[in-house]
Amino acid sequence: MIRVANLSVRYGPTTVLDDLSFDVPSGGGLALWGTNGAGKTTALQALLGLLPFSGTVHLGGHDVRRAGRRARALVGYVPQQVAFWDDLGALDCLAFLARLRRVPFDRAAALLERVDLGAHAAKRVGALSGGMKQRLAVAAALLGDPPILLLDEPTANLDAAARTDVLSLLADLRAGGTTLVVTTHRLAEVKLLSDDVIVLDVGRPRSGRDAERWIHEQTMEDAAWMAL
Amino acid sequence: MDGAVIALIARKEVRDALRNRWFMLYAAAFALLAIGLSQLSLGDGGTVGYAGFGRTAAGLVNLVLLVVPLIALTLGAQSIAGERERGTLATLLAQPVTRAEVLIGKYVGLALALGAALLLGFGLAGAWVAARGGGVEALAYGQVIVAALLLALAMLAVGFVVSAAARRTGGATAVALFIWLGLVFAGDLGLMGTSVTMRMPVSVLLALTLINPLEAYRIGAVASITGSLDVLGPAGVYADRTFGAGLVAVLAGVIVVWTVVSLGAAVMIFNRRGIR
Repeated sequence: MIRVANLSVRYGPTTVLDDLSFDVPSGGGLALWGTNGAGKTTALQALLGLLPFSGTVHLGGHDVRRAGRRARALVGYVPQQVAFWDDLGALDCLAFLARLRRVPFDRAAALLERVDLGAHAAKRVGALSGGMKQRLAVAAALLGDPPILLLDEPTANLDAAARTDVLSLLADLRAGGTTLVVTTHRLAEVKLLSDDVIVLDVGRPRSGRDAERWIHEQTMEDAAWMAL
Repeated sequence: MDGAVIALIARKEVRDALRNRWFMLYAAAFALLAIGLSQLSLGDGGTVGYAGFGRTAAGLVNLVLLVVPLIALTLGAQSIAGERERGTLATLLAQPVTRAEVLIGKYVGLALALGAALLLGFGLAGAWVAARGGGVEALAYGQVIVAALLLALAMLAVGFVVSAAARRTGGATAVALFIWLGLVFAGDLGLMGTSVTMRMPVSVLLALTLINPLEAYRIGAVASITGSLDVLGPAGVYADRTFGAGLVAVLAGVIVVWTVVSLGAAVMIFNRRGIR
């Protein structure tokens, strides 16, 4: 479903992502793990074709550079820095994005209810809290029921209850066959949402491993540090 | 390109412009200045009605030359750069749309909003003149309006070039103001000074003059109002003799070429830069 080969992104002389390659089969899950500035967000933005990059990215068989529209039609994206048009109401905002995806208005309204923002439909986006905006971003990503979700720290701004709800929604989607690529700092989310992990270190992929084995290693490492 | 996507983005842009207090301020200022100039042109010598539209048009030419490029350049410069700075460009480009559709949609929306604001200003000024009995030379007035709209489209497109390349609205606005100064003052005064010191041939002077879309607008407006370019001196007479009846088409062509080339450049830059 996702095929990435030799993906690199440079800003002038600086390489922010270097030679990343991976395949994610339909219904699979991949976690991108790394510290701040490791290149996780850049990788997701490049997958969507939002940045100039070298290498190749195919989403659902479509080359994102040559057939960007068809490729992006298959993808829902939750960015790390959620940004909507502050003057629009929450539902208006979602309805605008729904029209761009040729999704009926009813679906936008239903998704707003699904992420518990129904009571805030008329509220200006600028007046929503960070967590509410994050939930709005999740709703926007689900417009058109895309077979691929790219999630950049999807629970970063959420409180415990909202995080549980969103993770449950994402787990259901994964069980239903949606392909996920997620960046996160939380081991529990890696375990829930992915089969494989790629560790990024200042833009360089360090390893691609089975998620279970990797989580075991991380846990052992953390325990060793605690013992010291 | 998908026309439905362009229309959708354009419609949103029109709504955003109506919510933008700077845009509303520009529109109100233009309308007030246009009405003020109309009143001044009618009040001269106590004569009401005689060539009312012609005088009003002549007065509005200078207003258009100063204000329209300023509004169009700054609005254009803030468009893409503003979305980039706020992060909403990533939200928009993550949808199944192309960058060209986003840029053209935003351009069409802003062009419609700007055109409506200018027509409102011209319309109010025209209504004011008509109410005071000025009914002569309405055709010249109409030609000045059409030329002003063309000029606005060209300057808006130049603003989009700046915006496509800029990361921040502050920087984009500064560059737009620099271009405005260059076209309005440095182009005019610089050309006058250079032509005198270098004893420039009149053909070269005319060619250099026509490169500037503001000068193309000024010459076209003078030709519409007075019927000849004698008032512009030797260069005007030379232009009349060289192009004859085709002069207006040449001048309109200059402005249209500025629009098309600038929009093409803006799309090219935007395609390369993306959200960065």
